[in-house]
Amino acid sequence: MADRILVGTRKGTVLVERSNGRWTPRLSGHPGVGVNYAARDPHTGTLWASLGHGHWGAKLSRSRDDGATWEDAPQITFPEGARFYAPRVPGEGGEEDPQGPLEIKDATVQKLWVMAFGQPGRIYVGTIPGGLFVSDDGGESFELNRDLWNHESRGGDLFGQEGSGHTHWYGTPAAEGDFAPGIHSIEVDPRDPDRVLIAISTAGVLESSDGGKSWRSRNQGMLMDYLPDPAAEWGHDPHSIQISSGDPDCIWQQNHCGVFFTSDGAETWNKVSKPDQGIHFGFPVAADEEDGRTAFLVPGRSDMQRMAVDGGLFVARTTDGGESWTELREGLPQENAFDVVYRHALDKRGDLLAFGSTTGNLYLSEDRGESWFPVGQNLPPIYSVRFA
Amino acid sequence: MTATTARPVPRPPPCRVSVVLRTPSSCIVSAAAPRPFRGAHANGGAKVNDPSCRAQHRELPGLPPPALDGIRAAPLSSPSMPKVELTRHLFQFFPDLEGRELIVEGETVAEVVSAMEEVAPGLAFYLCDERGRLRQHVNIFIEEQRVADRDGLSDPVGPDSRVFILQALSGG
Repeated sequence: MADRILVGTRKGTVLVERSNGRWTPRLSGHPGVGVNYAARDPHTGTLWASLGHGHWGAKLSRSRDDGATWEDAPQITFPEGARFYAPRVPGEGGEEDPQGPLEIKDATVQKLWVMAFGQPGRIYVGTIPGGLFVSDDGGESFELNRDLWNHESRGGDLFGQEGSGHTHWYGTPAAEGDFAPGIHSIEVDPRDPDRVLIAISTAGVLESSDGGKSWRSRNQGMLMDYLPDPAAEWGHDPHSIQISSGDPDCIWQQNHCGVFFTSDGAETWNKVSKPDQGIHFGFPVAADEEDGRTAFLVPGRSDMQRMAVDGGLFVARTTDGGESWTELREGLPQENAFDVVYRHALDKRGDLLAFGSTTGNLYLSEDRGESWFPVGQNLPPIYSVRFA
Repeated sequence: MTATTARPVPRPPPCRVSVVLRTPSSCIVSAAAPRPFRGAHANGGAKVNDPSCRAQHRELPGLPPPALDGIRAAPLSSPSMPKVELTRHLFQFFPDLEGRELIVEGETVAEVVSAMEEVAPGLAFYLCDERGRLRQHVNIFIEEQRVADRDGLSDPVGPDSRVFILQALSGG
């Protein structure tokens, strides 16, 4: 059972540790700095944090002494010549013009958004504006995965060329600066380290079965309500995806347009939202490690009103692949709750669940969500929660 | 949708700099081995709790090696030697720079940044992105004049200039 939680917040990396049955948070590092994601490499024990300095840019940080001290890690940079199509920001020039010309821009790291760990030594980092960086030496060096960067859906090879002139990768509101796409989910198949699924806002889900050398879309069955063709191959906005580690053909997805589930390894997705219960919009999803048909969400009211549903915070749980949902409310505020839980801010480990919100509340359950208790209520806005 | 190519972003000029760092004890320490400016240090940046962020002793070409007592004669030429003053907010990430007088060689802002990168590996990537462009919420002043060329940092620096590297009010 886990005894520690790494929490990335707007003002630093918080470590929550259990001792004598009590969970206590403390600031571990990066005081005053935004920490987009923090997680532990299961192979080496190194703690990693992706920082978003308001002034100094995105930086990768690591601790090799369990959070006692932190140091700048070798930094991730786009290679010379890396470029991307930048769509116009909605509203720029006075009117949204989806048919307007695209601009080609030099790529620089805007946000280090998510990290994932494959076989020993393999570390993935997903970024805004959409680069996937890979290390095979435990984080001593990273390289841009060019096969994904040059993917036809993104516009082809823009290194010194004009590419196709088209892109299906659109911006994410999580971008700061250029309205650019971002990789926020990276899932490695526990059966096969060469099989990786990633999710991009805003493009969709892609899969590689050969260690990242080639990629294909995995969006069949996903539906959008903001484009003329809801079932188009590209343009989707998955908010997060997660593989059930013990049942890897089962994958869960919280999308901008609902909740989706697949039991065939992402060949096809099925929409399993229950809007009458408030289960539709949200950001994070946590798949059960043993039973692939069990998953947890923290729903939000809607994309137009991003806050708790009717002022009452709850966690939704399904045990039948989304056919039915249970609202878990015990211990959570049911009046005047405005918590929003970001896509990386929910995690599960065995019987433990934890989530943190933009209002600085961190909640924990030790009984698979049946009951909850607060661990911190004056924390900074929380960006990520990961058992470590 | 059709694509148009954006105006090419100017790249910072390649810099060949030698660094002379004056320590608070007024002992002149020389560092050589000039190397091109890059947007990010390849082998890791600041070590927040690691005291090894120091200028390395290396020989300047054409100049005698440092004397044993660490004092050397002034070079015959008069290179541009601006003084750099950093916002204290950077000392959180580069603690070895706090309290030190930083006088580096450089004739442009880009050369000054390169020289500072030699002194504090990783610093350049705090100030600039990987294209060498000054980050949006970072300001560099020469005396009281904000630099004009934020993309290439080509603003000239005088021999006795004071160069201020500061965080903007925005970005906080």
